[in-house]
Amino acid sequence: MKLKAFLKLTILLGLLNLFPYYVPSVSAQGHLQTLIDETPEGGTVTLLDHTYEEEITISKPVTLIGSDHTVIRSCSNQPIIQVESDHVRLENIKIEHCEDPEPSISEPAIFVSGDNIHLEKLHVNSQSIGIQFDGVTNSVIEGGSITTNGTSNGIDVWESSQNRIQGVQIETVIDGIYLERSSDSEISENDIQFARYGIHLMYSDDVLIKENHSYQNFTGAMVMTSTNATITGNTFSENNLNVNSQGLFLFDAHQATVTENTLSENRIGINMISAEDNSLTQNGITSNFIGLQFNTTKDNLISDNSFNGNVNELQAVNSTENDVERNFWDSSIKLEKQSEGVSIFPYQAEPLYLLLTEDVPAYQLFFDSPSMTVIEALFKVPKETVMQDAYPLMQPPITHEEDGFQLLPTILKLVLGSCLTLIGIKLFTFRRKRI
Amino acid sequence: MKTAFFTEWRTTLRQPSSFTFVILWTVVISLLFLLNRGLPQFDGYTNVLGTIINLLLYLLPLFMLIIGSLSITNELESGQWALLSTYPISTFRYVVGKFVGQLVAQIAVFSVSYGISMVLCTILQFPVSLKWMVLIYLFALFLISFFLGIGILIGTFASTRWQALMSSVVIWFIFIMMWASLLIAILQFVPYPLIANVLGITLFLNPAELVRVFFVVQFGGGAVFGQEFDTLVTFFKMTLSLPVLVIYTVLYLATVLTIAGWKLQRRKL
Amino acid sequence: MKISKILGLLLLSFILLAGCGNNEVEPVAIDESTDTCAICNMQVKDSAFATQVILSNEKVHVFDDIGCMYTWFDENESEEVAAQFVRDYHTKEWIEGDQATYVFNPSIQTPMSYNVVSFESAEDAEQFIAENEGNLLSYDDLQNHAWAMSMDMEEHSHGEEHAGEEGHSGHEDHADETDTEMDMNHDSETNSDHEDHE
Repeated sequence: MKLKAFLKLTILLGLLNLFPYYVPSVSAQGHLQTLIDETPEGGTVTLLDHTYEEEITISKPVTLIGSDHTVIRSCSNQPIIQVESDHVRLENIKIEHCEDPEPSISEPAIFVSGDNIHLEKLHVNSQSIGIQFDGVTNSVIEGGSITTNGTSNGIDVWESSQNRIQGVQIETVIDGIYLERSSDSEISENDIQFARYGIHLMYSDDVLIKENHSYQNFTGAMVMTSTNATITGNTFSENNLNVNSQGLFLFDAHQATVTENTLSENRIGINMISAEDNSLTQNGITSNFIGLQFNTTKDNLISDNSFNGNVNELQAVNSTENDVERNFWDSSIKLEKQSEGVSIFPYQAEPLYLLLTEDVPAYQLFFDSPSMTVIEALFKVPKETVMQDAYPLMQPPITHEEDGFQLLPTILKLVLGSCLTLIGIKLFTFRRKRI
Repeated sequence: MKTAFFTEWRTTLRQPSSFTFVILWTVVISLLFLLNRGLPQFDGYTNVLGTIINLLLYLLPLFMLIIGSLSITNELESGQWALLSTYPISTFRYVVGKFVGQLVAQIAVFSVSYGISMVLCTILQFPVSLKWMVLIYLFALFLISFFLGIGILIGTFASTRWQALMSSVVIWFIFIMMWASLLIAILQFVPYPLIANVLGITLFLNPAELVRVFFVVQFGGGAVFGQEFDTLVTFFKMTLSLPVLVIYTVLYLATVLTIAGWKLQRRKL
Repeated sequence: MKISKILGLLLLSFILLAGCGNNEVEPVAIDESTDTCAICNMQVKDSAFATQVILSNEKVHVFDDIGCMYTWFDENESEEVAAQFVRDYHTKEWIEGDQATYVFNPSIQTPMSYNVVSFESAEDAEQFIAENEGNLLSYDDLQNHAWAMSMDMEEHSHGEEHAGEEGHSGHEDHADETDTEMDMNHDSETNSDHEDHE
């Protein structure tokens, strides 16, 4: 059996050798930097299943391809891989910093300053920033994973444009993907966890954020002072660990399109402050503490969203000049208006709690307290100062999937239920006969 | 103490009213679980859970206060107390006996109802998670214990059944309905930096709020209480916090019952 | 009897509290996990860029950038401010806002890119300018400073920026000792990279 496999392999290798290589290829053993230096421009360096303990600088267009156990490791305070040239391709390599108990490493694991760079399936374990772009265009980071020691950003993009970050798994970082002054980029299909801000845009326009999953962070995604972001098909969930957590945060964002995202179990689903001209449509906002929160916003369109199971669906102050209509609110009173699919009763935001806690944040202790309902009933805020959905939908535009049947919890529930009943009955009848 | 305990336990459960309560609680709890129909099953805190918790906060304390206070005034008014006070029995032990007896009876009533509701909801496949069921049950147990104790205290101060009933409603109204408004009104006169601390202290005076905050944290909702209570919430998140809450409950009840015993002693004279 | 006792206690506590109020206003420490900037809502990093305003009722607002603090002043003119604190760029010691000397240099990367830093002594500020360029601003100058995030301004040339940063990285040692956590702005890392390329 083994022999057979061996034979197959040799034949395969032999066949491969028959094909002439158009680009000269070097199999890397020994000093990596020397090998790269020896490789001609446009050449390929194939790395072995080997741990290379060094830092490298790539200053000409080459391709580095690792195999399954290729590791480049370094303990010094320098980027492990520094890409200075254009047209460089790195593939399938593990890049590691040493354990660094006293933070002495402040350089990123990979530092890129060239254009047309392709980073594929890189597994970065950094003690500082994972991958840093500075002035990079037309480049791609695809697949792979990034972890840091939790005090730096995963992917840090600075003054770079037309780049794509796709399918990267990012964990234990400050900001998962941080873009500053980096316009016209795409961030898609990434998986981000245990970050402060999963995705963070600052002064970056025309960015597409698509189908990412950002969860258990302080904030799922944050768009600050940026124009024309498109945020679609993402899942921002369980961002509820911090007192300032939220799924999506738009601060001073303009003309953003937020559509078809799922926001669930966050402290706040979508939080908007000083945001104008954005559109929020067809999002599923479920089981957050506060579904939507607005503060000093105007000219935003909020329609066709589905609000389910949020403890507090809508809170707004200074936000009457928004276009809120045709959303589904599961807690609104619904009476259909001439089979138009909308209810005749408008749905109103609750501004009191936000006003109260803005002044004295400690009053957040009364969140969802039965005594708060009394206050809300006592102090009616004038209608014209309250944000409202004039025509709430009768049916949710988005339906959730039914939960599958789970055997174990069901049995447990049944057993526990019966036990409680029996114990109760036992207490009822205990020693009764003796009296 | 033992006699008071067993008599209280048995007489309460033998009354037809306890069966009415079983039916009432079963209906209420099942309806509450029914609220979550058509929604995805979540372990965390949602508006439905908020409603369940709030409704239990409205109902349980009110009933427990009334039951607790009446159980004392009943005996006072029926003359049984006059008879009892001729025996050399300490009033504190009498009060404790009454409390524990009543507690066992009420827990029995609630457990039967809750158990039936759980089985019913599981068979009818309402999407209520196991975690919810367990935590809501515990939440109710804490509420029952705290407010029965306070009810008994009210009973020792009231001279008639009518008075006991009215005082129970007033206390319920203050603790459950007016708490936030009352505190906000008072805290206007407190210097700003002290507000958070004062609120933290008052939390421990009103068991309804304490238990509510504690369980909201258990449901993963600690972050909503904001920065000021981050340390408290972090503490509540630890496993150690449940035993601490239990100890706090016992101490709170011991204090309440001591005062009740002392008051009865004075009435004896 | 009882009521008078309670009243007495209350009165006493208020007197005590009033007594406390007369003391100097002290800056509060930054809690990185829960403090957010009152203007831009970002988590505030315990760095040299953090500032705070303490109102006369002892309410504290923290900011991640001096620019955010001045935005707040603009928006809340009616509030009674007891004190404002900024930090010395090197030592991170809290200093009263009106005692500090400020430097504006578009190449200093502050969290919200207002590009103003503060120094305890004018000499330090001058030395910083000697090394990195920039404009010296007194507290009074700062009141008339046109607060603009560098993004709003015309694109500054890349070369200029690097020249500034090179010098800036000279101070990076200070930053590195303390800026281990919550590194949200591109201070030390980025700067030293630039240095490496050149």
